[in-house]
Amino acid sequence: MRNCLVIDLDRCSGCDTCVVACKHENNVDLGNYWNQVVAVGPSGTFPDIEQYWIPAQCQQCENPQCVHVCPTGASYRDSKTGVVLIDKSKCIGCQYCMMACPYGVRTYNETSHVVEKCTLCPQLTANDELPACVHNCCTGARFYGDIDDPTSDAAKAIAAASADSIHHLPDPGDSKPVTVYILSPKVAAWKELV
Amino acid sequence: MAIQWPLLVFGLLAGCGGGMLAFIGLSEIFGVAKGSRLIAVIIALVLLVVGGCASVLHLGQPANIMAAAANIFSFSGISVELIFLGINVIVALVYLVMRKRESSEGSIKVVAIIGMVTGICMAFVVGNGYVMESQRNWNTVALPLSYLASGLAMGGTLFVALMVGKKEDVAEVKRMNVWALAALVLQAVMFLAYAVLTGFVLDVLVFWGCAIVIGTAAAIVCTAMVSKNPNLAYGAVACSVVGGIALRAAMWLAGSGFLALFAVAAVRGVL
Repeated sequence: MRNCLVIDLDRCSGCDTCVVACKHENNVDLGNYWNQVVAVGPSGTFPDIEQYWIPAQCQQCENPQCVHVCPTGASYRDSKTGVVLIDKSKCIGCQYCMMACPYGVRTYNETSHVVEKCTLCPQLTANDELPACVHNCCTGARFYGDIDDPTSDAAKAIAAASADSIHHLPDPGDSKPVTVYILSPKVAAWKELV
Repeated sequence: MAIQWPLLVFGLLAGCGGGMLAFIGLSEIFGVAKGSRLIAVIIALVLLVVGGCASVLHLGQPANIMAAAANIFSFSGISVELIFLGINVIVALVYLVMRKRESSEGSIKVVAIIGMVTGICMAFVVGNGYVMESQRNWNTVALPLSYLASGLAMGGTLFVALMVGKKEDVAEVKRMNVWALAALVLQAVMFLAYAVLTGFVLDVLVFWGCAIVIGTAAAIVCTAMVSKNPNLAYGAVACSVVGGIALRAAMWLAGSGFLALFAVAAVRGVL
């Protein structure tokens, strides 16, 4: 099972509602984030200008580098759901996982002295609800589910998109990020960013 | 990335302590520096212990080191550092006790040679934990090899300075000084290899000014002239320590991550 987000960048307007919803649902400290939205572009020459937004959060890597460097096993990938999580009771705040994360999407909580990240809201999904960022997305750009299950919202969104619209963030080596971004060439050309 | 000073100090002191153990072993093999070995192993122990204490300041809470120790066989970078720190402290303590009790020279020499191997490993592993695919400017074996060379250079120059301070035989000082010089030459090669393999992205003032010019070139000049003016051994120690600090600082400053998305978002930057 590979539970993750599928984000349709053709629809994303960069409004940051997902960021606010995440902070509200997960009580994320002031100044900290579990997800953020980064603008890509604008690029091109007028009038052929294009821009899109990357909502960034944990990519739920299949081979997570954060897990490999964790000295206490606090960072782990749940074998049942495929979600990368942090057991805060085991986290010693060494921040090696933050150095090892290829995407810089972990945050250090100065109050509780532990590292935090997107959890895909297990407190909600356990009750068949959607993660807060998915539920509150104004443009219906976010989908959640097991991409190996054809009946999930996430798998359906991928199936509905053309093959040249399916993207992942670049992989520095063998991290295998699972999160999928949909961006059609007619909206903007996908940029590798590195 | 900001310099993480507790980790820098840990890498510096533990590397220097490991380098010192390596030179104690070398002196046992050559049968020289008899009057300096005891103080040298005490200094090595202090360096290792103080370095270890400095590293816990990086954790969320210093007491969290107990959790890391409880999971020591996870063999993460931190665990391997802890394992070698413990091994080196034990070996150094055994050597100290055997020297104090005036055990047989043969058995002391065996322990010293073990200490030489573990000391070299210590200086290497304090840099090896940073080799990770998400940090393109750290992801090269030249980084831990630079840490190793720096540890040996600091340990070697410090050992020679101790010999000078203890007024050891000039010929013996000369013999150990050749090896300190070799460590510095190794440092020059490894530092330059690290700079080349990272595409010359390292901070100009910190790396080229402090690590190369002061920490390596000036240290080599001082070490090469110890036979003419023994007091230059102290200058060599100072220079090599500056080089050790600068290498580690340059590494932290070059740590940019693969795609630092939150950092970009924090300044409302665009990709």
